[in-house]
Amino acid sequence: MEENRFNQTLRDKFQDLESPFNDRVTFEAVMKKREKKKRRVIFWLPSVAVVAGLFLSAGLGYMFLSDSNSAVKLPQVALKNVVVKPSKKAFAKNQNEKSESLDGAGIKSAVISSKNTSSKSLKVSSPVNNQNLTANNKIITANTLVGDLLKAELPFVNAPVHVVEEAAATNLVDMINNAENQLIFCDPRGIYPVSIGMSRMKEEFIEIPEGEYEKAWDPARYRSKWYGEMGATTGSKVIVDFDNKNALSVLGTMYHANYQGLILRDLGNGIMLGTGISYGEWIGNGEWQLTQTERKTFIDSYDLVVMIPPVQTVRVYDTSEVIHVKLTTGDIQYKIDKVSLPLAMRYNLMLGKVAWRLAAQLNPGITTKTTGDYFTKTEYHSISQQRMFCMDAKLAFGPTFALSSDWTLVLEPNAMLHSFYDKSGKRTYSKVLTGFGMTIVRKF
Amino acid sequence: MTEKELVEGCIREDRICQRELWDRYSKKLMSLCVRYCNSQEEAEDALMEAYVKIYDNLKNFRFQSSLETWMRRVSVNLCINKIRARKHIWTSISDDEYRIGFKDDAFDNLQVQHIMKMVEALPVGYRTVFNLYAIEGYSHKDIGEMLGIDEGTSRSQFAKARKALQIQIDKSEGGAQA
Repeated sequence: MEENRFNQTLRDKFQDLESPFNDRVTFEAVMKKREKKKRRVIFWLPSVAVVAGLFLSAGLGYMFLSDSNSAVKLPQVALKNVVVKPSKKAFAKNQNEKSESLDGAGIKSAVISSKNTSSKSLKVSSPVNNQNLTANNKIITANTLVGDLLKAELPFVNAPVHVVEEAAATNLVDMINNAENQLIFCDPRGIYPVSIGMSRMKEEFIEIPEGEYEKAWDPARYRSKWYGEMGATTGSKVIVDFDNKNALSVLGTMYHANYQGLILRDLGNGIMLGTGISYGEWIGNGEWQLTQTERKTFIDSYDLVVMIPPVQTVRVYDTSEVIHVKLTTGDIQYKIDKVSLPLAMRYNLMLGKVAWRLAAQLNPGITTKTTGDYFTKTEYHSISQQRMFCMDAKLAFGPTFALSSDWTLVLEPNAMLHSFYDKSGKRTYSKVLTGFGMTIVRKF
Repeated sequence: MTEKELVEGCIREDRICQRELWDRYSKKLMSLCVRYCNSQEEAEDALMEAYVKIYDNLKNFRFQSSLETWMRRVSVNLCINKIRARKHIWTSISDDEYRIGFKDDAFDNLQVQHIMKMVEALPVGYRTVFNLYAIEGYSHKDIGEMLGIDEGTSRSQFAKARKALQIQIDKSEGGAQA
């Protein structure tokens, strides 16, 4: 009861109590804060959606490519090099096996119908799905094709074994991939590139399809092509001086964001050269600290009375030295906007089953707007000029994902050198920032 | 303008209604924030954040209590979250220590501003529990859930707060008599 009365008294007293607040706290300030909060959400949502969309597209593209190994894509390219010459031994073994089921191992058999002609080559017209292969009216299994038939001699099979209907696509793809002298960028499906930069294939590796697929064959498929590329790159570098040897030390972070559009020419063998336009921002902010040491000498004196006769007074001097450390700190920041004309080189290659791209480029250009003081870890300089010559360079290496037959996404972990020439100071300042980028490539 | 009109206006983002809501309750909520926060600046920031929350969540107000009570609850929750974020260490005391002498009419003759000053001077843990229990009327069980502490800890913090307040009252009375 006592407690209740006590609490009630307090509640009554505090119920209508009002407290004043500072002038900065106003209705307008609250609304501003609210707007800012809303804007923050609005700003981030599309960014998150775009990034998620890119990753989703990359994933779907990758899945599409993986899955499409088993899809029927007609017409297809016949490759001269895929010449199957199975050995007698292997063939005899497989004759005995008759119709062997391989579905437990995930391998499907296929049907090969042979005709009595004089050619020795096996022309792979299409990756197909059906289950059995027959040769000389005998059923053989697909693993024969993949394994023994691939490199073996088959002198008694003097007929072209033409895969006319569906066969196990995976096995055929493997077979073609394993064929000797096959170009790394050769896509067994013919139409869709494994990666970009696969033009100018050697003629001996290309064979024009026959029959119903001949009309659909476009020889321009393997000619040099033009590509367009749009990319964004970011990166950062921490500037810190832990030595304590320098009077001035800076603790800061540099960031950059670069956006570029390029036109690339495919020169074949996975190499592309190109140029375009690039816009970049190079930002730094941090704190400088100046350490000044000063030695101060203090001399204290006092009189000491010596009581031994004759009594006398002795003045004693006590000297002490103090090292006084004075720390001065301040904020520092700069921002350099620049426009450049990149000279770009790209090299596309396959590592395992993933297509990769090595990108190198030089970006000569000029700064368009500069503010603040550029800093290194032990010094800083004011940037007085708006227009300076700048030279950037980028080196990136990352996987590429075909989103469709025309669009490719490239992920680019990268290192980017930023530099500018200060005419008044006659010095070049440069730093390498590391980061991540994404590029979309479009085939024309 | 009635409470309902005010709420509906704010939901419609009507500036006049939003300003009216600010003018009507901001000083009262400020007195609440001051009791929970460590400084005037912190209280002012909390007040503004509370209003942002209130404007954003008014559509969830179901008129089951008065608007002021609802707004106070939103503000208290915001202040509590701030206190929890600071990771305050809560301590318990033994049962014997609850039995301290505290006159139930101790505050009767004191000005509210004087009490406020004494409450503000309490350590964070005491002050928070004291505010929630004695002034806002939450139970120790609710306070325990809100602050993530035991019911017993809440009781002991309240007991300590009362003890500290009694000492301050005694001091001020002693000073006045002298």
